[in-house]
Amino acid sequence: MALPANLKQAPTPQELEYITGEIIVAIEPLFRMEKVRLVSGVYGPFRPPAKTRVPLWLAQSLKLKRKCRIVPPDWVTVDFLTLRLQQETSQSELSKMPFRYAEVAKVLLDIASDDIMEPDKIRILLKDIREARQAKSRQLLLALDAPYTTTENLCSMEICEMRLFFSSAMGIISKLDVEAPAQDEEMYDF
Amino acid sequence: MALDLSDEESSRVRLNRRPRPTDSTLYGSELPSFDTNIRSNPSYGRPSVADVSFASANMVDLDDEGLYGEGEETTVRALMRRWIDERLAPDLLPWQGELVGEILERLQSQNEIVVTLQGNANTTEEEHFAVMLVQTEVERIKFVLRSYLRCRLQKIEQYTPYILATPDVQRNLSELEQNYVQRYGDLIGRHFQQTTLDQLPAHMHSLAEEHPNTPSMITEPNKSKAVFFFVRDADCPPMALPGGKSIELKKGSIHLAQYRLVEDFLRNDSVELV
Repeated sequence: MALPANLKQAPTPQELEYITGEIIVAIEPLFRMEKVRLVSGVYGPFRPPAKTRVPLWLAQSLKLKRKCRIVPPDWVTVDFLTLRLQQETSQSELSKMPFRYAEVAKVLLDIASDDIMEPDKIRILLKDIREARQAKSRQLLLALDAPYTTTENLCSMEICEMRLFFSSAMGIISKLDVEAPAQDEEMYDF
Repeated sequence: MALDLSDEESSRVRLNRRPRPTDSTLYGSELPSFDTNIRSNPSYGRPSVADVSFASANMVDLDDEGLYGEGEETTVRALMRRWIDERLAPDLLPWQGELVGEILERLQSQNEIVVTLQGNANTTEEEHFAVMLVQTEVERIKFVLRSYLRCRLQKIEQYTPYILATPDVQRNLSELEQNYVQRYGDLIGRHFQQTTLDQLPAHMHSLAEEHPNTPSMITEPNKSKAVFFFVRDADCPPMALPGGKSIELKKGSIHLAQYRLVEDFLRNDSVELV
């Protein structure tokens, strides 16, 4: 009907990646152009070798035309990610990552791996971090309670991955709760 | 051509006398007057090489960042936020007429400039490239806008009887959507009547009848659905849980809660769904 069935439940990973296009990244333009006014703001001027800041989708489009180098964000370095991986494997809580780190990293590694130092190491580190975090976010399920649970430091893609399961699990828990004694029933009387 | 945005004022005066976009209106120095967004969000979209920091690994500061990292919320990001909210909320959220109007107006003016430039034989190659970027962005925004509208339409079709019976929800609809829900409700009602209900005994004709132990025939949004949300406001009031407890909502934190608890926060913009 109005919305295809596969889009009804929640935004798809592709759509999340699409939104990530609005994130601002630094680029080194390889062509000259004056400022350009877009709906989301004014970008440029593009004068090599001065860096300028543009939305990720624009950087992506320029990169594919070989008109710029993308300057990877601070956290896309082997040092930082190694540190995060250590934290991730030694602590029981999730550590703080940029909310859309998975999407940004995917776009950068897909189209601009030549602009990143040691892209293969980065790829491996990101994969390890993802797995460590995945194991921890499954642990969150133990603490799941209706009608509220804290999910500190989860990232966009992780939420996307867990959403259906967590949301239906909470639905079941709250249904079971309603069977509780009469005094509890008032609680649900909004 | 002057490049600094501080020249904006003088070029604006010039532009007022010259309402049609001409050769280089795409460029920042000749901002037409509707471009108020640049003013209010100085940190966004401007080249500020100084804050491209190359901090060492330990220094990378991820605190105090929004969902998009840096920068204020532009109209485009606002539209994306509303779109995702709408996609994740089980019921119909208030129609964002003002935002959609503003976006449409900007798309329209970008389009006019593009048409003018493309029709002009003197357009330089650089301008053609800029036109291509403008068109890419316009298409990006149109996609989100369409998906937003379709998502609302889908909810309207799904909950037609409920919406028609609840004036509170009807206030969340735009005028066009209100007309649509009326017409759609009529059509569906007549269809049910003709195909099935007319063949049944008279006391079973109503779709609103309630029976004990059977679910209602009117589909309502499931407000107990759990949603993930992100706290946008620094001074968001605590969320009261049933049973007297309350939860502090710190800016930038992410929680999972039943939609009915989040609803009010969503309405006054202090949280967004993720």
